[in-house]
Amino acid sequence: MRKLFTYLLTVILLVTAVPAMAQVLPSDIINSETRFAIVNSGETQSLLEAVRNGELTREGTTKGIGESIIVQSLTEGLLMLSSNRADVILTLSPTARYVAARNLGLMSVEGVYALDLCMLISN
Amino acid sequence: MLESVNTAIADMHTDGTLGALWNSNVAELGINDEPVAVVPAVIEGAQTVRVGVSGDIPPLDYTSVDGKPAGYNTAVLAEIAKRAGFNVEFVYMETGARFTALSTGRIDLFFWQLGFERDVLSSDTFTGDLEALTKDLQDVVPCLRSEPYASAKVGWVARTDVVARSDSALLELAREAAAWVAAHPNATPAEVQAYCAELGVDDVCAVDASGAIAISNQAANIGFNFADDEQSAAFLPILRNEITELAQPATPRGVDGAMYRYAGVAGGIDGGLTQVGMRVE
Repeated sequence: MRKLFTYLLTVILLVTAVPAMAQVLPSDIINSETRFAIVNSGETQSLLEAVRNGELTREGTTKGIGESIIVQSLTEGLLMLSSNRADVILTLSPTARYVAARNLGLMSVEGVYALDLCMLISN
Repeated sequence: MLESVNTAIADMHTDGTLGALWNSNVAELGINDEPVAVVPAVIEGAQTVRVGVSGDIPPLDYTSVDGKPAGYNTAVLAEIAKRAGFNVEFVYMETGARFTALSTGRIDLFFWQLGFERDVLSSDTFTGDLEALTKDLQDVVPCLRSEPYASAKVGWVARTDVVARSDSALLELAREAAAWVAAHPNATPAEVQAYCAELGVDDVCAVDASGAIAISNQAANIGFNFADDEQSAAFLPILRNEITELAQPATPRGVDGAMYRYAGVAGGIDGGLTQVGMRVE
């Protein structure tokens, strides 16, 4: 029964979220009021800096962003969102879709820039 | 090890293995499907490589509630280990600890590291200096980076209330409200209030060609002229046909100083504009 309830809630969320997602561009949610939760990762932090400089919005327009909070894990970032201490988490699109689909009240938006996934190997 | 890992990745790209693993473990993973752990085969007498996983980019790097990796990370590592001829021991850790873990020998390999795509670096659509953002890891920590095994777009996880306050979402609501006002030119504050609830906003008002509020959900605001306050005056260019719409950042509103996020579009009352507002806590 609990699984069925979760499934129904998820379906409702997706059905209601899809039309809005199609209209919303990343630059719409990147503005001076947006508070970011950034998982502690050098490259992600670099991405944030690029966003801060207005370089990674979909239209290439310059928009400032609000304060950012460095968190140590995605879980901590989600806690920040749910407690209204952050508005947005920057991550990879499959992860954004995954966590948004499993959490009511969250949506995912896909950006246009792609990142590679590599492995780090000890020297 | 770098060479054997890179060879395995290149072969898996070529023969379609990586694409198939991505599809089955990421792209086609059902919303309620729990990623399945792939147990790497044990190669007798081979070196054991300790692989750091964080669970921080599910379902790409996923760990279950008991801290054990599952899904894409285990499937990719099991295949690479089989081809490169080593055994795998997964080590769960916080993402931020990966460089220290590598440099102190606690792990031999960390499953994921983000890097910019070469295609993006040369993209005409990108205006920033991405080269300056790309780290040369060898200068920072004593570790090597493998060839890419996957690529994914940047994404955002946002609260739905944040998205609802986005410019495009608010302007769409303002356009809906203008059509409603045009169809209800004599709406009372109570009727507008009911419409606000239906639309999911806190405030709807329509201004006539002189800049005065003629229709509002708040009776006390009727008659207030947009020209009398800096916040509301920002919308007057709509009346002068200089712009057709405006989404305003959260601003103290002229009527009472409360923080609101407003969007306005031409229309509603003939020669006027219609505005929707959401209170910002």
